[in-house]
Amino acid sequence: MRDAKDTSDARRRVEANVAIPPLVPAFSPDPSDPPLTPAEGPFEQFGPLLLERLLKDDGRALIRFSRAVPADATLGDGAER
Amino acid sequence: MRRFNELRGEEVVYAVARQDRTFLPDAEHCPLCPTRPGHPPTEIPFSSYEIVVFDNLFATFEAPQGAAEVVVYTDDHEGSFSTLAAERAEALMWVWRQRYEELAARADIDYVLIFENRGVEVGTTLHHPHGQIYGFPFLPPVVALELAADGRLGGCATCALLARELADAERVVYENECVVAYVPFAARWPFETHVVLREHRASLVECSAGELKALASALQRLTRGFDRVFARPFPYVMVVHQAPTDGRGDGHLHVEFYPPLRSAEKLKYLAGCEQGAGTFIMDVMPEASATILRDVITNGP
Repeated sequence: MRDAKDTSDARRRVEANVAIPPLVPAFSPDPSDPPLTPAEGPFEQFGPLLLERLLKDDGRALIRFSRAVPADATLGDGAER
Repeated sequence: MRRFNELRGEEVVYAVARQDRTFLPDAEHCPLCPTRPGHPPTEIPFSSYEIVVFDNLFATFEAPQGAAEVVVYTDDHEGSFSTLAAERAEALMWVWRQRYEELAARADIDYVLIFENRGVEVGTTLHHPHGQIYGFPFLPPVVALELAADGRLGGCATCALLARELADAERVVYENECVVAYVPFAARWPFETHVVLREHRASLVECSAGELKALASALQRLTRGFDRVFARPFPYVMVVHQAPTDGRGDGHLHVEFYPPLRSAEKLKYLAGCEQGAGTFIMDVMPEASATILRDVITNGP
């Protein structure tokens, strides 16, 4: 009895979670938002990685980590592709 | 905002804006995918990327009282940590290290928690492969318990437990030159596994490049093994344990996994005894879990 009940409950729980329909995400930036601006110089080196720091228009920080200079990186003075 | 729960002796964090966070969007609306030409911008303004970290829009902690960051492992919406290329997983170790080092330097952050919730069973709200980092403005209770264990055992508890697991060997599921993975003697989850650096390293910052590579390899071997246990994506909570950043204690870098599945379709719930008494009841012996895990890791890719 215990196993049967547990199985049923678990299956319902898993199926309920999986079956939740996707919603329109709350994150919906305006395409007309101003472009991101480089926070500081174009790249920093950390171990084997290059860091590219940006600030979003709402002030949140974003860092892209790459093993090589990305083709579409925001380049500043002295940076090379 | 947080309040101190006197009865439990612990902080409770209230982040009510998270109630409206993005919830299981389909791939077309994934905020962690690259921004593609002709489509609305996502959280990540690049058409391709390797690894990106950004401040969580729905933050649990925010400066000047902590931090909450999202770590996106790949621009590929599909897959998981286990399916990353080996060099990407290794790069992720360096990203974790960089974030630990930078956040640790902040006066408002006492502890850096790096973690991943994988699967809807443990509450993930975005399927795109990613993890999170919380910069705690206080020392969380699990870390305080680990420091208390150090005091109780008269030294590094993780070093002592690693030595015991290696001596027993019965629960060890994977080893390489720098890292040991085992189901702990008193596991609280059916396939709970700890991935521990052989040498005492307080944090990722103290690791050599070789140790980071070995750690990435061990984590991938383990998570690939997890997916083979029940031949299905294996949900887990993965947490990197490191030294507090408030200078009040040491640590021993290790990664703990708390998987909730006890069979292909049965979940371990935190019910009356766990929540009401704080005592875990287990349906599976750690040695049995270790035997299964060791087999799928040894015989898997």
